[in-house]
Amino acid sequence: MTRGGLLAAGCAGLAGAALAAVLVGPVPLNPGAVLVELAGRLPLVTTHSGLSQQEAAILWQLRLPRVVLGGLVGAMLALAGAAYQGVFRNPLADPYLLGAAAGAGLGATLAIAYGPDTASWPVDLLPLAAFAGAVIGVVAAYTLGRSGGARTTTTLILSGVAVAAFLTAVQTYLQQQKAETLREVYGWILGRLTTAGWHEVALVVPYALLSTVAILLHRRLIDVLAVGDDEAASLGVRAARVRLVVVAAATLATAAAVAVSGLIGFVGIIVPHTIRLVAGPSHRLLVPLSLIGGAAFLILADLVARTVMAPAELPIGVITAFFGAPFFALVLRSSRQVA
Amino acid sequence: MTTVEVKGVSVALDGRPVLTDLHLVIAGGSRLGLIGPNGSGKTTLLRAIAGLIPYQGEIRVGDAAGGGLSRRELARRIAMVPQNPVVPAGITVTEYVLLGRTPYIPTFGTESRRDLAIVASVLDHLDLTGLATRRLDSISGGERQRAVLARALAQQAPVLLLDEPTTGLDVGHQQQVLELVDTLRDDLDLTVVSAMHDLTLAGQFADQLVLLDGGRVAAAGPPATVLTEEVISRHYHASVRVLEDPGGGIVVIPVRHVERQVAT
Repeated sequence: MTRGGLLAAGCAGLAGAALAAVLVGPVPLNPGAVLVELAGRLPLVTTHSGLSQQEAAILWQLRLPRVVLGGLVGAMLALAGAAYQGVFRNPLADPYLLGAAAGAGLGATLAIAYGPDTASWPVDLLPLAAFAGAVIGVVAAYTLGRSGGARTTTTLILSGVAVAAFLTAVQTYLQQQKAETLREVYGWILGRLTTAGWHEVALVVPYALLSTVAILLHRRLIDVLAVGDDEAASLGVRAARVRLVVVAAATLATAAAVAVSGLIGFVGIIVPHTIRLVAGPSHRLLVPLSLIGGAAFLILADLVARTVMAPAELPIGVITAFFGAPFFALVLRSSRQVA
Repeated sequence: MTTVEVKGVSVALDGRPVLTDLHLVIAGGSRLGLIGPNGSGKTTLLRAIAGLIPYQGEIRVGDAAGGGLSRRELARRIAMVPQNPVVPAGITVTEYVLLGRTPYIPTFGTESRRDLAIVASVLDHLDLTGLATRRLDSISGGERQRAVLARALAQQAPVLLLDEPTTGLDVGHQQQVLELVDTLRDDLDLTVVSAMHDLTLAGQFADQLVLLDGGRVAAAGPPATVLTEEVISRHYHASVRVLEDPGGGIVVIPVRHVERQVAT
């Protein structure tokens, strides 16, 4: 398929996933009416959808923000995964590689277990703490990795492992100290979109835009890094600088996603890998398709998470891992056959 | 044609001196062979010329000091074929050769028609058109070496550095690659510097040889003056016999110590 064809197919898939997620729920909505209602929000269009006031509220206040947030989170995780795998030349790199997950986990645990009551605050403490934790985790890993003298990607990854282990130890200790918050912390770690509202969407959008633009701009340079730092340098590219910018952007994307949804695993690995199998390894297509594919995948995963045990909800991380792990095994099998 | 001047260059890696006060003039359009035992500093010198490692002293590339050029400017003047090029998984030969246009493509831009035309002509020149859409990791070693060379040529740099360009190739492919480099040098007026282990091939495919030992120039000059039994046995600690090939070249043959004693 051509580039345009793949992008068009991706967009169609995303639109289909979003529409399905908007329609399905305890109160089924009429597809035609929903489309008319959505079209009514376009500038210069006036329509009458026929949705009742209650149905319209379900659409605008419950379903739509959740779909949009799920899409944003999925897009950010897949984008960050594709970016990390590219700049580290490591197929197993995921958005949580450099201590982002452990840092966010520690931040969230601190906020849940020790944070002040923020009910009266204009902003919620939990996403801010998770965001800060993720960024601090990566900065620590990056600083440690670069101080080793030999600034190879391997030292960077190893320092990420060390930082993650340390932060997780601290997080587990704090969590055990406050056993009464265990359930809440655990729920956060598994990831969820239950609290999704336009407020969370607004929180994520600036970071999502910034990191998306930065990584899209660097996608050709990430391809150059595929020949290694040395050869990239002989082709006129400062690999360390490209890596720093891309890692910074991917970290912002991850931190923003983690802040509003907790730790949702596997999206950052399976989405880019699947796209590589279909569209090839070039980041020029991989990056935009990961954005689209990540969004569609997470919207569908969230749809499953909130319907299989309705009215109860499964943590979305359970769904992504449940479908993601076997799928990942399949991808590995077929990629070995291709190679 | 671009002359490369190495003026008093010293390089230390991890505090250990690898090159010491090296002086070399590589005339524009010439073929310089860098020879010397393992660890003598051949690769380090190539990397210093390419600006990949910090050095003391000055390296002039044409009319400019290498140290004063940006990465991109340097990449437009010097192309390097490393000894063990990284083979990225899954990319096609065309995509790989297109990487050679990186120094010309705007940082956040995309390749132009001109870049694609240059890639197509390089592929044609190196007889790779038939492999253009094949995956780089699926072609043979000899074909891959040509693809790596094609990437370097796509850089359109007047100076071409080759680090052991015949590593891992059989004797036929070794000759093909070196003949190809020679033809390209003629066609494109390149200045070619190759680090080589095979002394016979070095003698046949270089105008000038520089023998490095312990990071210093141990001998330099036309192959006939450098490739002598005395020089080679002193610096390589090897027993060799140097023969004049009736065709005009020099042949360096390793001999067993015992046999040599019998012969003398």
